[in-house]
Amino acid sequence: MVAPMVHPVLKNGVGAFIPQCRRLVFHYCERSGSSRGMIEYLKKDLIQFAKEHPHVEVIVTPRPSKHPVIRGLYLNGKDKVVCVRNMEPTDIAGKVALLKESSGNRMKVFKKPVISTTESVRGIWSPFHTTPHKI
Amino acid sequence: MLRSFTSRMVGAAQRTNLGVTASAVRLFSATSSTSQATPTSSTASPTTSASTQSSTDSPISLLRNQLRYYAVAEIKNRPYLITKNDIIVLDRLKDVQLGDVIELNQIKELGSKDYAIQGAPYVSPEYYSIKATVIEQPKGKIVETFKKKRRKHFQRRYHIKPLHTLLRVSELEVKA
Repeated sequence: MVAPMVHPVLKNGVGAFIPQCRRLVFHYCERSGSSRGMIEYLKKDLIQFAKEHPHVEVIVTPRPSKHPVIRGLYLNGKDKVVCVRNMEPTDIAGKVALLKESSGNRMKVFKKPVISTTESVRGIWSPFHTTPHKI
Repeated sequence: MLRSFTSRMVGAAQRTNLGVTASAVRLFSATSSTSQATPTSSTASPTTSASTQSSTDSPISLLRNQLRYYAVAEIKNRPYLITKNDIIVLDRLKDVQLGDVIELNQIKELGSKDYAIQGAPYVSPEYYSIKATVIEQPKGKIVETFKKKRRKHFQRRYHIKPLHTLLRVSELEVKA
């Protein structure tokens, strides 16, 4: 019988912090007009970004006759794809920052201000452990 | 949230930033000796220690002898009840990067199972060390607000995509 895989409980940030974005792939087309801003970004700003973030693997690949696209791969194996057609280099830099700063998790509504897995410090209320009511 | 257990110390900070005065310590020992329905394991030992050495046992050392702590931290004027390893979901902070460690120093309440220290307005920072790491700065899901007044030909749809900063509480320690 094969032993079941045990997955450790990961708490990124408690001991060490590991940035979740692993790889950014930049696709562009050399001929089409929607890639104009992308090509300018690749020439001007991408090398500086790659130097500032050595933990991110940056890949630049031409993808002819398609819109320019940035694909981010994360440590949980999921990826996020952003189409940057007809965008200026500053807007593309914003999208790159968005991909770099998020994790692979889906976008979700955060309903509570604190997400916690620790049990309550003061315990669950019990009617048998309160001061008795006095009239 | 549990509010009704006997051995809480409450006081205004007239003399110390700790938020506990000598009268509050006596109040603590009086209530726990008269109350009947108390969990024996948690309040039995503090009762004896407080009644015999109420003048020398400082509140912070009583807190320090407990096992687990919580804190009510105020970040951007909003309270967050946190323990260690929690994730705090905030509106986007513009001036932080991923991996930055933030020291929280506006703590309104610092407590454990049996004791709590309420700051007035904040607990003195020499009694704790609370740090949080920026782990992610995601975009939230689209939130739609729909307003309609019927029979008046009025309806509006607003869409917002909130920006967040997630902080992981990496350290929450009480120093005696």
